[in-house]
Amino acid sequence: MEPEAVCALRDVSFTYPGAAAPAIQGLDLTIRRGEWVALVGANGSGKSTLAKILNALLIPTRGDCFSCGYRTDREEHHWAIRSRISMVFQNPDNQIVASVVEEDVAFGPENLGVSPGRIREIVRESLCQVGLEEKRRTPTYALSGGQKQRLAIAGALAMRPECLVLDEATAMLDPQGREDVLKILRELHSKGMTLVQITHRLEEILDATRVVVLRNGQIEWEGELPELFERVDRFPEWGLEIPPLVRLTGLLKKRKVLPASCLPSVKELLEHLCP
Amino acid sequence: MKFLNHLTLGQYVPANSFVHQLDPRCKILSVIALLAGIFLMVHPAAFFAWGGLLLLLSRFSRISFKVVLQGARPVVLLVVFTAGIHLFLTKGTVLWEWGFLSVTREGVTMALRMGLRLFFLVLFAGFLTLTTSPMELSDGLESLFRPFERFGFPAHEMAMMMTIALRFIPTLFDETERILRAQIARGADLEHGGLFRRMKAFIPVLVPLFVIVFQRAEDLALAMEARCYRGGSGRTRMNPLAWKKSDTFAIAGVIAIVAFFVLLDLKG
Repeated sequence: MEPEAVCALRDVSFTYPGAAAPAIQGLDLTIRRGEWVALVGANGSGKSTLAKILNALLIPTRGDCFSCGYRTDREEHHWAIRSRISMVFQNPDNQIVASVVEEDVAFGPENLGVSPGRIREIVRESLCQVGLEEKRRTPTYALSGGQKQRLAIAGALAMRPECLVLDEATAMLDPQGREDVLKILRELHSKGMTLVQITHRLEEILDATRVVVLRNGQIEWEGELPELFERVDRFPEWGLEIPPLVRLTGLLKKRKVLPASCLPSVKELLEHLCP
Repeated sequence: MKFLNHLTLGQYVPANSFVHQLDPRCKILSVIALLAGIFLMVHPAAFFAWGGLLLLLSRFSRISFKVVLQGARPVVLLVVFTAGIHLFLTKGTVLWEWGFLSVTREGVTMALRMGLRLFFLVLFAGFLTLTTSPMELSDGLESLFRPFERFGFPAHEMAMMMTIALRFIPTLFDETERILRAQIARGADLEHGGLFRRMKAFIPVLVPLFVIVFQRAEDLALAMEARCYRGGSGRTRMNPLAWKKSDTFAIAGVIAIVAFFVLLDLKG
């Protein structure tokens, strides 16, 4: 495993019990410290399975997976892995354990055996990071969907992880809730946190440093975001939807209104169209 | 379909009050003492005392009495049913008779007594959940059950199960409401017809609800595992339980009230 690697998968395959085909097949992937890796692909492409493998919630049926230097197939390593790689799931309602905001954030550090004083500090810091410090004593059922997901992120951050894995964490949120979560991710990444973001909304991965496209449990393509948008012709095959801005940019490039090298950002588009 | 609205069963209402700040063990033991008192005593004055105590608790906990009463809504039918059984099946001096049904003087007394007992029981138990967060309740129960661990009793597991059950009550009510609306929108008639027909009409509500409950349970287990949960061993608490003087005074006060009415009963 490379010294800078947070996760390394070597020829990893995983088949769910009773399933005819593997969900993940011969996958090789390295996630380096400080990276923001976006895992994209159609439903059933193996994105969520891969996320669970990284967190040692699923153990590969073949191959080796190392998370934070620990082999995930050893049960004695699971606790160490999960305290370093935190996960945020799709439905916030299914990951909130406690009935009061601060108690839920404290759940992880309590499991790690952190001292009460330090837990209170961590809870305060984590709630500040997600902008929920004023909701500290609020019942969790009284939060909005976006606030619940921010609470789930605070719960994950309270573990003081090296890497945060988000499994379609914005899928059930309204546009404002999505933007709030993405803002938190941008801030975490700017502070050096390694992020693995699973999504099928390409407009949400504009800040990712690397994109991995999964198809039928295999890596179909991997590279940087601008390169991905040069391959829009393959999007239907990969089960990806072309974002409206990318579609517009593509059309403008075809009509030579925009240069071929232009990146699909609103700012650049504006600069070209309204100099 | 408004019957799931305003339910406070198992819900926690955070507030900075004297009752909220009491140790959960003190509150659990006080409720047990009160429940025993409610069932042991027959003196009519006791019921006024319970009512008065509830009003006092509502004031000291800064929770409106209306919210407290809402907690008893789901069991109103049970209270009426219990009172009805005692009203019609208790033998004694007949006050009114119609066919095989008869109402006796003793029946009226018994119906009132049993109905009120059940009503107060629910309200006092409701107070516990209104003023104690499930996590605190779980910590309190775990601490009280700990002596039984040496006999193999799973204290932590029981307490955690209860925490999660209480946490999911509002979520499952929401879920039920959503399924009800969806089925009504698709033409399900849940409000008309006889009892059997209405029970049958609820099957399309219960089946998806059970599926969702199992799915949620699996997801929650995974999320807890991802947050390093592995049972009670090595687990610390953000707010460790600490018995204070106010807890001793509170439980002594409750025991004194219960003891006073027991003595009143014994003398009367």
